[in-house]
Amino acid sequence: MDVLKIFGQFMNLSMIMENIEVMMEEKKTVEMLFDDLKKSHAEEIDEETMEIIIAEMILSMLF
Amino acid sequence: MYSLKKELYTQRLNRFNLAFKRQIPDRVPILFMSEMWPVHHCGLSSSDVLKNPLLYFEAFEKTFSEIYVDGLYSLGNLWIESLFEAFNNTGSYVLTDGIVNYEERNSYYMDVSDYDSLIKDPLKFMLNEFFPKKFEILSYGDSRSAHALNEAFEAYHDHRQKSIHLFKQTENVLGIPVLARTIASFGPDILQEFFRGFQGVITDINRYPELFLEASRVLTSCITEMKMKIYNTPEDGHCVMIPLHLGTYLKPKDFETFYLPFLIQVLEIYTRADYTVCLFLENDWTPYLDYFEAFPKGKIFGIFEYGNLYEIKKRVGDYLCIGGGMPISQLAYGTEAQCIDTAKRVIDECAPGGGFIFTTDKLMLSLEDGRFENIRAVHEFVHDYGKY
Repeated sequence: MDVLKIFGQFMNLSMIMENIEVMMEEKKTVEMLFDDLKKSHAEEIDEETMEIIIAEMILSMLF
Repeated sequence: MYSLKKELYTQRLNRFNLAFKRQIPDRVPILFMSEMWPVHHCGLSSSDVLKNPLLYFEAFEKTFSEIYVDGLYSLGNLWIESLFEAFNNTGSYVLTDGIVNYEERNSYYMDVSDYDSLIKDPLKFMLNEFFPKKFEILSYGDSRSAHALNEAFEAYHDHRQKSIHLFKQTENVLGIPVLARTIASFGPDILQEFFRGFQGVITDINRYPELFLEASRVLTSCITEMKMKIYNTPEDGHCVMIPLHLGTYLKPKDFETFYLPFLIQVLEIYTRADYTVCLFLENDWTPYLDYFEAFPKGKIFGIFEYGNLYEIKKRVGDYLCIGGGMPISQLAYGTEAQCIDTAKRVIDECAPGGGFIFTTDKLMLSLEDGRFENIRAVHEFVHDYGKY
């Protein structure tokens, strides 16, 4: 029983820690998130193609 | 491309291209307008096809080995379900009974007070204000949002690769041109469809006309610029598809002020850059035909949903190539003989002088929108009877 209690407290603590981590993150606009996305794919997709794909994706998100 | 299919493809493309230029091709081109009809005809699941657009090819291969066509309106898969799944939201569409249906929801996410921000920078407004309201997960601005955006990107990228492959397969293996290279829109229709909803734009036109006009102006420029970046090389026989929605629901005076200038503006931008524009004229445009005189000279193709096509061609055939004529209600409920009679009358009245493309008055969405036997018989008849 004690083991379960300790495990439960640990789980709660870890969830709280995760939430704190998320809360401490810099809040980004969608524009900034798209910039990060472009950077993270810079090695696989050339800049011009990426710009086209992002433009298409933004317009598709309007639907 | 196999040489026979390549020859067929070239012949078909030339047929459309001459018609777009309001010239006379070797025969009247037959355009097939549908979304899920071939999918249902081949017993495939709409849901599976939306997840994997490559499955369309199976449907196209079977359907068009049985039914003659010169070209397809589009590939029929505009709404990308997997992209929206990543955001836990279906957008403005939902798949019901095997058909992708529009549900007006966008008006929930923009109100009149947002106009200033939209006018100031439409792209920034879309990204930083509109999307976080539409997709809650993007409003957090943290790793959850980044994760969702990345998943959506992967889904979009995968869908895009498959769609490009499907285009190539349809054109190269089946020899069937897919006319629409991209679907575009302009200010008033964008505001109605994506931002304010029908009730919203009608209210805005009456209460905040200056805001509506300015927003229409900036949106027309912004979206057209994005579209021309995406589809950056005009090609003969292919077009930018623009469905027209709001126009005919406005009274003539409002049409002149709040719709026509933007329609003319977008037509001028595309035709000046040598694009062919295909307008899908939803509803009855008969009362508005006099305005077509202001259309720029260029390759414009108009598909008419309602109205007397013979009268339409007589009145505006000098300004654009005319398309339509075959009511899907007759393909669904008429006999073969009745359908062929209609097709014969349409060809007799509209084909002389060229600048005409035979097609249905509406998109065929479900299997009930047209009986296979009727469609096959009509297309065979037009292919033969429509020779110039």
